[in-house]
Amino acid sequence: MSPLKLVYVDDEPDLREIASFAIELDGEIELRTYPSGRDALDALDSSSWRPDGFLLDVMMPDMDGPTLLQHLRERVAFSTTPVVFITARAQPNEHQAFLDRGALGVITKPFDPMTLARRIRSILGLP
Amino acid sequence: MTDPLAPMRVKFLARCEEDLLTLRQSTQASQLTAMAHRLAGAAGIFGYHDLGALALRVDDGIRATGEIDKGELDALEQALQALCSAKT
Repeated sequence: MSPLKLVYVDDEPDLREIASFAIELDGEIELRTYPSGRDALDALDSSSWRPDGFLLDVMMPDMDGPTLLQHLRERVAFSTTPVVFITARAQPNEHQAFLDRGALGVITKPFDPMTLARRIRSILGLP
Repeated sequence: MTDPLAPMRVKFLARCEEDLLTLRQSTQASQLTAMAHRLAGAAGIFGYHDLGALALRVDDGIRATGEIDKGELDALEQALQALCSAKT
């Protein structure tokens, strides 16, 4: 069975490192991380690699998570790829707003590294 | 019991020293909210939930009003100082 392919975009290098460690605990996830929406879009546009899902930080300089989601949806290849936001914004109304903008789910920071992969699989409806 | 996050914890704690300096020296709301937002997202991962909650209050406060609440900033500074002191 081919691994689950995910992209994680977060401007914080420490969070990218922790998420990489956490997700790699799963053993069957191929993760690519990018420090910005622009870096992610440039890499995806120049590659045939297609992720099964996106994990996007919300508050990033230059291009925030919701704007990045919009740009992804403008691309045929990613028009329906599931997006999960990861954010320190914890209010229920904020989470609903993210879902209304097209996210499949929201994970609140700080996340538990030991269960992050399982949470992502659960949101994506995967075992 | 080994801490699987140990290397990352070391980096986080080292960064807390820098954050303490930022807190004490910066008067720029944008710089403080960026620092507080990062702390709010990361501190709890390493078990420092109170620190994360204080950081979130600073972040939320500045974003809501554009101004820095000195009381909240002082509380965050004390928590950071306590963490930095404990690790030495």
